[in-house]
Order: sequence, then structure tokens, then C-alpha cells
Amino acid sequence: MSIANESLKEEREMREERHTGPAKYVMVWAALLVFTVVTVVTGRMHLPEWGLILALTIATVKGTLVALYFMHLADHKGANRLVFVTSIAFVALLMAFSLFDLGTRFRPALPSGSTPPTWPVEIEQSGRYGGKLMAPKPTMEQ
Amino acid sequence: MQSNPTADAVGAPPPPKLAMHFASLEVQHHAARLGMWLFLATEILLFAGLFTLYAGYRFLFPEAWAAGSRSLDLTMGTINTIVLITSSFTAAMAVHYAKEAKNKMVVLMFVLTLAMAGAFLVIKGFEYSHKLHVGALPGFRYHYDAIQLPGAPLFFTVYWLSTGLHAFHVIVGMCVLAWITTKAAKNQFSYHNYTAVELGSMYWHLVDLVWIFLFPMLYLV
Repeated sequence: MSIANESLKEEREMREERHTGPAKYVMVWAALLVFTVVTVVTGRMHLPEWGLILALTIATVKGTLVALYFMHLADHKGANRLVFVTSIAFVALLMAFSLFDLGTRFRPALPSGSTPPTWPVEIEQSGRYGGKLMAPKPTMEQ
Repeated sequence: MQSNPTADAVGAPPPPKLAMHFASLEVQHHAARLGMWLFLATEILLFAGLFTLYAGYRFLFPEAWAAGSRSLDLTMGTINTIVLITSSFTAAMAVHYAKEAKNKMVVLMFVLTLAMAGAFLVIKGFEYSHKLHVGALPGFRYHYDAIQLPGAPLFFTVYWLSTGLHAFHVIVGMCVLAWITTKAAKNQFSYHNYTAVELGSMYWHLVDLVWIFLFPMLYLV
């Protein structure tokens, strides 16, 4: 009856509002507004390299606050958390591998007019396919 | 399934209905939440496609992305962010009041949420009409003279698709919340029975969650 136990625990936490009383909601709301101001101010500075990372970090913190307290993930149990975390993991996989592909592709194979930055991917486009892959060397035995 | 018509007559919220295939009400609530989280996971993956499109083309066309991002109206975007975060807060408060069986407050909170959702769409509409006017349209319809860079039409394709899909979710969320508001107006929610309010509110928070990421991606960096 572990499922039933888990359900009871979740029910109790949702009722008691251990994590999410109205005072918590107000605090989360205030924090979200503060983070919005911070991200707008830093975004307007157009920081050259860290702007994107900073903005995404702030957005992730805001998103975590919303998920944990407004969506009650902090009170939910087991499978509910697993579903959310799994979906986020697959979003990361999809984005990361799409970018790996574009970042390591033979440059002339990218769309015309595109000017991708060389950083962070350093590729030696010496091989036949743009990577380091070389044609096999003929062996002496044959 | 049980029904209690006398409960409505005296004005108390009706008792919760337990479906026969659940062991208890707690298990039923847990299952309802799990179902909602599964649905929200598919929603997240739906938006993930657009986020990947954004990441890929941003990598390929950094100049067009910077120029396109700076051409968007940051003031309107910031106001919309604050409006949506506040609407998310009132939706969370609605769940709190539903648990305390204060259905009138649930109605008030959801009406506030709906009003802010409407304000969000109106502001978005002003932005869209400006884009239509200057020709910052997706794909081959692009004829915005101020930004003529390779990849600029792609930025606005991603802009229209992602904000458009998000606006569609706002409209769907408004319909869902309006429906739950009518239930709250009939004094249906209480300590034992607030699943509809909770799940409707979760959907609204997801709409907010998506915007929390869309806003810096499109307007700021």
C-alpha cells in the first residue's frame, strides 16, 4: 500500500499548507517581481558574454519558485515530481543535442548567411567531412 | 458516485465524489494531480520544440537575434511579465481560499486573474498590431526595413510562433478558469473537494512559467 501511503502524505501536506500558506504566496510573488526587475536591468546592459546565461539563470530560479510553491511541487510526492523532472531533462537533451549538431557541423553545410560564433566549439575542419575524421590510410599488406 | 441535493439547499459545499475504482479520496486526488502533471509535461515538451528552434537559429544568426530582440518593446514586455506573475499569484490564492471553502474569495481571485489575463492579451495585441504595421512578419512575409540582416525573418518567425502559441494557451487558460469560476460561484469547493481549482490553477501557472522563459529570451538577450 505504498501508493496509498504516499497519497495520504501528499494529501496531508496539501491540507496543512506546510510549504504554501498565503504568506508564502506573497513572498514568492514579491521574489518573482524582484527577479523580474533584476533581469530587466541586467538585460538592458547587454552584457556581452554572460547576459544570456544570467537571464536564463534568473528565469530558471523564477520558474523553480513557481513550480515548487505556486504549483505545489514542494508538497507533491513521488511520481508527480518524477514526471516534471523527466520532462525538463528531455527538454535539456533536445536542446543540447540540436546545438551539438549545429555547432560541430561542417561550416559550409550550415544555412547561407549564417555567422555562428566559433566559441565554445573549436573544430578543426581538416577532415573529409569537416571534422577530424580522415580517410583510412592504405595499408602495406594489400 | 454519491450526490447530496440537500447540501446545496442549505448552502454548504457538496461532499466530494469518490470514483469506485479508487481506494480512497486521497488516492483519487493524487491520481488527478499525476494526470495533470503528465499533461503539463506534454505542454512543456510542446514549447521545447520552439525553444530549440530559438536556440538553433540564435546560434546561427547572432546579429539578427540581437537586432530583433532590441526592436521589441521592452516596456510592454515588462508590464506583461508583471501582469502575468500577479495573475499567477491570485490563481494560487484561489486554491488557498478553495481549501477554506471561501468560494466567494475563489470567485474574486479568479475574476482578478481573468482580468489580468485580458490585460495581457490587450497589451500583446498592441505589440502585434505594431509588428503588422512595420512589416515584422514571419518568413517570406517579412518586409521590415529597419532590420535587413540574414536570419531576421527567422527571428520574427520564432517570435510570432512562440508568443502566438503562448497567447493561445492564455485564451485556453481563461476559458478553463472561467468555467471553474462558475463552479465556485455555485459554492462547490471545500476542504475535501478543491481538485478543479487546484488543477485549473496549475494550468495557469504553466502559462506563467512559459512566459517567464519567453520574456528574457525574446525581449532581453
